[in-house]
Amino acid sequence: MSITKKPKRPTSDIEQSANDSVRTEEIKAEAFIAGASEPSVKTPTDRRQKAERQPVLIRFDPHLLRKVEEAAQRRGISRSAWIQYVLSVALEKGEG
Amino acid sequence: MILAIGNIKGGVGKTTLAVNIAIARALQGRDVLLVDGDQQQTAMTFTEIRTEKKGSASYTAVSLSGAALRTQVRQMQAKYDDVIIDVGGRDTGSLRAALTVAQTLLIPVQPRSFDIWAIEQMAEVLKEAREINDLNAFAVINTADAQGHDNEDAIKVVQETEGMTMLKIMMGRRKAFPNAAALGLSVLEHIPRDPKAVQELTDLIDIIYNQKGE
Repeated sequence: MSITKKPKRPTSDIEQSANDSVRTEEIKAEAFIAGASEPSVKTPTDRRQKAERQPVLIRFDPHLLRKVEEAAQRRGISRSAWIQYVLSVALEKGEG
Repeated sequence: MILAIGNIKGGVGKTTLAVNIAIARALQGRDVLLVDGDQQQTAMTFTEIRTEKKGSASYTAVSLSGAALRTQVRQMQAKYDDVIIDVGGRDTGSLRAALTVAQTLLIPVQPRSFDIWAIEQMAEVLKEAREINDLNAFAVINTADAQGHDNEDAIKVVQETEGMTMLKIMMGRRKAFPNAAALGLSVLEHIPRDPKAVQELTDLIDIIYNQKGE
Protein backbone atom coordinates (compact mmCIF):
# COMPACT_ATOMS: atom_id res chain seq x y z
CA MET A 1 0.00 0.00 0.00
CA SER A 2 1.36 3.37 -0.95
CA ILE A 3 0.78 6.66 0.77
CA THR A 4 -0.25 9.72 -1.19
CA LYS A 5 0.46 13.13 0.24
CA LYS A 6 -2.51 15.42 0.68
CA PRO A 7 -2.45 17.84 -2.27
CA LYS A 8 -1.56 21.41 -1.44
CA ARG A 9 -4.35 23.90 -1.91
CA PRO A 10 -3.54 26.83 -4.17
CA THR A 11 -2.93 30.02 -2.18
CA SER A 12 -6.11 32.05 -1.96
CA ASP A 13 -6.21 35.71 -3.03
CA ILE A 14 -6.64 36.73 0.62
CA GLU A 15 -3.61 34.70 1.73
CA GLN A 16 -1.58 36.04 -1.20
CA SER A 17 -2.57 39.59 -0.32
CA ALA A 18 -1.56 39.03 3.32
CA ASN A 19 1.78 37.60 2.19
CA ASP A 20 2.37 40.61 -0.08
CA SER A 21 1.55 42.97 2.77
CA VAL A 22 4.03 41.21 5.08
CA ARG A 23 6.72 41.36 2.38
CA THR A 24 6.04 45.06 1.81
CA GLU A 25 6.45 45.70 5.54
CA GLU A 26 9.75 43.81 5.48
CA ILE A 27 11.06 45.85 2.54
CA LYS A 28 10.07 49.09 4.29
CA ALA A 29 11.80 47.96 7.50
CA GLU A 30 14.94 46.94 5.60
CA ALA A 31 15.06 50.30 3.79
CA PHE A 32 14.55 52.16 7.09
CA ILE A 33 17.36 50.20 8.79
CA ALA A 34 19.65 50.69 5.78
CA GLY A 35 19.01 54.43 6.01
CA ALA A 36 21.00 54.80 9.24
CA SER A 37 23.70 57.45 8.98
CA GLU A 38 26.22 55.02 10.48
CA PRO A 39 26.30 51.43 9.24
CA SER A 40 26.29 48.65 11.80
CA VAL A 41 28.92 45.93 11.93
CA LYS A 42 27.89 43.25 9.45
CA THR A 43 26.83 39.95 10.95
CA PRO A 44 26.75 36.61 9.06
CA THR A 45 22.93 36.93 8.96
CA ASP A 46 23.18 40.39 7.38
CA ARG A 47 25.54 39.08 4.70
CA ARG A 48 23.27 36.13 3.93
CA GLN A 49 20.22 38.39 3.65
CA LYS A 50 22.11 40.75 1.35
CA ALA A 51 23.20 37.86 -0.85
CA GLU A 52 19.56 36.88 -1.36
CA ARG A 53 18.78 40.25 -2.95
CA GLN A 54 18.78 40.49 -6.72
CA PRO A 55 20.59 43.34 -8.48
CA VAL A 56 18.44 45.06 -11.11
CA LEU A 57 19.64 47.37 -13.90
CA ILE A 58 17.21 50.23 -14.50
CA ARG A 59 17.90 53.02 -17.00
CA PHE A 60 16.81 56.43 -15.70
CA ASP A 61 16.31 59.75 -17.43
CA PRO A 62 19.14 61.94 -15.98
CA HIS A 63 16.66 64.59 -14.81
CA LEU A 64 14.57 62.02 -12.92
CA LEU A 65 17.65 60.36 -11.49
CA ARG A 66 18.88 63.70 -10.15
CA LYS A 67 15.52 64.22 -8.43
CA VAL A 68 15.69 60.71 -6.96
CA GLU A 69 19.18 61.39 -5.61
CA GLU A 70 18.05 64.68 -4.07
CA ALA A 71 15.03 63.01 -2.43
CA ALA A 72 17.22 60.23 -1.02
CA GLN A 73 19.68 62.80 0.30
CA ARG A 74 16.89 64.72 2.05
CA ARG A 75 15.83 61.51 3.82
CA GLY A 76 19.44 60.71 4.59
CA ILE A 77 19.28 57.28 2.96
CA SER A 78 20.95 55.70 -0.06
CA ARG A 79 19.46 55.98 -3.57
CA SER A 80 18.78 52.25 -3.60
CA ALA A 81 17.10 52.32 -0.18
CA TRP A 82 14.96 55.29 -1.25
CA ILE A 83 13.79 53.60 -4.45
CA GLN A 84 12.91 50.41 -2.53
CA TYR A 85 11.11 52.44 0.12
CA VAL A 86 9.02 54.43 -2.40
CA LEU A 87 8.17 51.31 -4.38
CA SER A 88 7.06 49.45 -1.26
CA VAL A 89 4.82 52.36 -0.21
CA ALA A 90 3.28 52.56 -3.71
CA LEU A 91 2.63 48.82 -3.78
CA GLU A 92 1.07 48.95 -0.35
CA LYS A 93 -1.29 51.69 -1.53
CA GLY A 94 -2.59 49.42 -4.28
CA GLU A 95 -0.27 50.06 -7.24
CA GLY A 96 0.21 46.88 -9.26
CA MET B 1 6.83 43.68 26.02
CA ILE B 2 9.76 44.72 23.87
CA LEU B 3 11.34 47.85 25.36
CA ALA B 4 14.09 49.71 23.53
CA ILE B 5 16.23 52.10 25.51
CA GLY B 6 17.93 54.35 23.04
CA ASN B 7 18.95 57.79 21.92
CA ILE B 8 20.94 59.09 18.97
CA LYS B 9 23.05 60.99 21.51
CA GLY B 10 25.61 58.88 23.32
CA GLY B 11 26.57 58.94 27.00
CA VAL B 12 23.05 59.54 28.30
CA GLY B 13 22.92 56.48 30.58
CA LYS B 14 21.12 54.02 28.29
CA THR B 15 23.06 50.95 29.39
CA THR B 16 22.81 51.83 33.09
CA LEU B 17 19.03 52.06 32.80
CA ALA B 18 18.82 48.96 30.57
CA VAL B 19 20.70 46.66 32.97
CA ASN B 20 18.90 48.06 36.03
CA ILE B 21 15.49 47.55 34.41
CA ALA B 22 16.47 44.05 33.21
CA ILE B 23 17.55 43.01 36.72
CA ALA B 24 14.51 44.60 38.35
CA ARG B 25 12.17 42.69 36.04
CA ALA B 26 14.11 39.46 36.61
CA LEU B 27 13.84 39.98 40.39
CA GLN B 28 10.07 40.22 39.89
CA GLY B 29 10.19 36.70 38.47
CA ARG B 30 10.04 37.67 34.81
CA ASP B 31 12.01 35.79 32.17
CA VAL B 32 14.12 38.58 30.65
CA LEU B 33 16.15 38.84 27.44
CA LEU B 34 18.62 41.74 27.38
CA VAL B 35 19.76 42.62 23.86
CA ASP B 36 22.97 44.60 23.57
CA GLY B 37 22.74 46.51 20.29
CA ASP B 38 25.61 48.86 21.05
CA GLN B 39 28.99 48.23 19.42
CA GLN B 40 30.74 49.06 22.70
CA GLN B 41 28.96 46.04 24.21
CA THR B 42 28.92 47.53 27.71
CA ALA B 43 25.77 45.59 28.66
CA MET B 44 27.54 42.34 27.68
CA THR B 45 30.61 43.28 29.74
CA PHE B 46 28.36 44.14 32.69
CA THR B 47 26.61 40.76 32.33
CA GLU B 48 29.97 38.94 32.30
CA ILE B 49 31.01 40.70 35.53
CA ARG B 50 27.62 39.97 37.09
CA THR B 51 27.81 36.30 36.15
CA GLU B 52 31.32 36.02 37.64
CA LYS B 53 30.22 37.65 40.91
CA LYS B 54 26.83 35.98 41.36
CA GLY B 55 27.17 32.72 39.47
CA SER B 56 24.35 33.62 37.08
CA ALA B 57 23.06 36.85 35.60
CA SER B 58 19.36 36.02 36.25
CA TYR B 59 18.56 37.12 32.71
CA THR B 60 19.72 36.11 29.22
CA ALA B 61 21.97 38.53 27.34
CA VAL B 62 22.75 38.52 23.62
CA SER B 63 24.65 40.90 21.37
CA LEU B 64 22.93 41.74 18.07
CA SER B 65 23.40 44.42 15.44
CA GLY B 66 21.84 45.80 12.28
CA ALA B 67 19.04 44.01 10.47
CA ALA B 68 19.82 40.82 12.41
CA LEU B 69 18.62 42.55 15.58
CA ARG B 70 15.16 42.85 14.03
CA THR B 71 14.98 39.28 12.75
CA GLN B 72 16.49 37.66 15.85
CA VAL B 73 14.38 39.63 18.35
CA ARG B 74 11.22 38.73 16.46
CA GLN B 75 12.22 35.06 16.57
CA MET B 76 13.13 35.09 20.27
CA GLN B 77 10.48 37.37 21.76
CA ALA B 78 7.89 34.63 22.33
CA LYS B 79 10.30 32.76 24.60
CA TYR B 80 10.63 35.67 27.07
CA ASP B 81 8.28 37.74 29.21
CA ASP B 82 10.32 40.90 28.64
CA VAL B 83 12.81 41.92 25.97
CA ILE B 84 14.97 44.94 26.74
CA ILE B 85 17.13 46.37 23.95
CA ASP B 86 20.03 48.71 24.66
CA VAL B 87 20.80 50.66 21.47
CA GLY B 88 22.07 53.89 20.08
CA GLY B 89 24.66 56.47 20.79
CA ARG B 90 24.46 57.26 17.08
CA ASP B 91 21.99 56.79 14.20
CA THR B 92 22.89 53.15 13.57
CA GLY B 93 21.15 50.26 11.84
CA SER B 94 20.84 48.64 15.25
CA LEU B 95 18.94 51.62 16.67
CA ARG B 96 16.65 51.67 13.65
CA ALA B 97 16.16 47.88 13.78
CA ALA B 98 15.15 48.17 17.44
CA LEU B 99 12.61 50.86 16.56
CA THR B 100 10.96 48.50 14.06
CA VAL B 101 10.30 45.80 16.68
CA ALA B 102 9.87 47.61 20.03
CA GLN B 103 6.48 48.40 21.50
CA THR B 104 7.98 51.12 23.67
CA LEU B 105 11.03 53.35 23.35
CA LEU B 106 12.55 54.97 26.43
CA ILE B 107 14.76 57.94 25.56
CA PRO B 108 17.08 59.00 28.39
CA VAL B 109 17.96 62.69 28.10
CA GLN B 110 20.55 64.53 30.14
CA PRO B 111 19.73 68.13 31.04
CA ARG B 112 22.53 69.45 28.80
CA SER B 113 22.48 71.51 25.62
CA PHE B 114 24.11 68.80 23.45
CA ASP B 115 21.43 66.33 24.50
CA ILE B 116 18.65 68.78 23.80
CA TRP B 117 20.03 69.59 20.35
CA ALA B 118 20.03 65.89 19.45
CA ILE B 119 16.41 65.32 20.49
CA GLU B 120 15.03 66.74 17.23
CA GLN B 121 17.07 64.27 15.20
CA MET B 122 15.83 61.46 17.44
CA ALA B 123 12.25 62.64 16.82
CA GLU B 124 12.84 62.57 13.04
CA VAL B 125 14.08 58.96 13.11
CA LEU B 126 11.20 58.02 15.42
CA LYS B 127 8.68 59.59 13.06
CA GLU B 128 10.11 57.57 10.18
CA ALA B 129 10.04 54.38 12.29
CA ARG B 130 6.34 54.89 13.02
CA GLU B 131 5.58 54.43 9.33
CA ILE B 132 6.61 50.80 9.97
CA ASN B 133 5.93 50.25 13.68
CA ASP B 134 3.53 52.30 15.81
CA LEU B 135 5.55 52.37 19.04
CA ASN B 136 5.14 54.48 22.18
CA ALA B 137 8.00 56.78 23.10
CA PHE B 138 8.80 58.18 26.55
CA ALA B 139 11.61 60.62 27.29
CA VAL B 140 13.03 60.80 30.80
CA ILE B 141 15.52 63.22 32.28
CA ASN B 142 18.47 61.12 33.38
CA THR B 143 21.25 62.20 35.77
CA ALA B 144 19.11 65.18 36.75
CA ASP B 145 20.81 68.03 38.58
CA ALA B 146 20.13 68.37 42.30
CA GLN B 147 19.58 72.09 41.88
CA GLY B 148 19.32 74.85 39.24
CA HIS B 149 16.97 75.34 36.30
CA ASP B 150 18.55 73.03 33.72
CA ASN B 151 16.18 70.11 34.43
CA GLU B 152 13.07 72.26 33.90
CA ASP B 153 14.56 73.94 30.80
CA ALA B 154 15.33 70.53 29.27
CA ILE B 155 11.82 69.28 30.08
CA LYS B 156 10.28 72.28 28.32
CA VAL B 157 12.28 71.65 25.13
CA VAL B 158 11.46 67.93 25.05
CA GLN B 159 7.78 68.65 25.73
CA GLU B 160 7.75 70.79 22.58
CA THR B 161 9.21 67.91 20.56
CA GLU B 162 6.56 65.98 18.67
CA GLY B 163 6.08 62.23 19.01
CA MET B 164 7.35 61.57 22.53
CA THR B 165 5.86 61.84 26.02
CA MET B 166 8.04 63.60 28.56
CA LEU B 167 7.84 61.75 31.87
CA LYS B 168 7.25 63.86 34.95
CA ILE B 169 9.61 61.76 37.03
CA MET B 170 13.37 62.26 36.75
CA MET B 171 16.33 60.00 37.42
CA GLY B 172 18.77 61.85 39.64
CA ARG B 173 22.55 61.93 39.29
CA ARG B 174 23.18 59.30 41.95
CA LYS B 175 26.49 57.60 42.66
CA ALA B 176 24.64 54.42 43.59
CA PHE B 177 24.14 53.60 39.88
CA PRO B 178 27.84 53.53 38.84
CA ASN B 179 28.86 52.02 42.20
CA ALA B 180 26.40 49.15 41.77
CA ALA B 181 27.31 48.70 38.08
CA ALA B 182 31.00 48.33 38.92
CA LEU B 183 30.05 45.28 41.01
CA GLY B 184 27.70 43.82 38.42
CA LEU B 185 24.66 44.81 40.47
CA SER B 186 21.53 46.93 40.13
CA VAL B 187 20.75 49.65 42.66
CA LEU B 188 18.07 47.30 44.00
CA GLU B 189 20.78 44.88 45.15
CA HIS B 190 23.56 47.27 46.10
CA ILE B 191 24.51 47.82 49.72
CA PRO B 192 24.51 50.45 51.16
CA ARG B 193 21.06 50.93 49.73
CA ASP B 194 20.24 54.31 48.18
CA PRO B 195 16.47 54.65 48.83
CA LYS B 196 16.08 57.53 46.36
CA ALA B 197 17.78 55.62 43.53
CA VAL B 198 15.63 52.56 44.30
CA GLN B 199 12.44 54.64 44.37
CA GLU B 200 13.25 56.39 41.08
CA LEU B 201 13.99 53.10 39.32
CA THR B 202 10.84 51.48 40.73
CA ASP B 203 8.69 54.43 39.64
CA LEU B 204 10.23 54.45 36.16
CA ILE B 205 9.55 50.73 35.67
CA ASP B 206 6.00 51.13 36.95
CA ILE B 207 5.30 53.93 34.47
CA ILE B 208 6.87 52.14 31.50
CA TYR B 209 5.27 48.76 32.03
CA ASN B 210 1.89 50.12 33.08
CA GLN B 211 2.05 52.80 30.33
CA LYS B 212 0.91 55.54 32.67
CA GLY B 213 2.93 58.12 30.74
CA GLU B 214 3.23 60.57 33.59
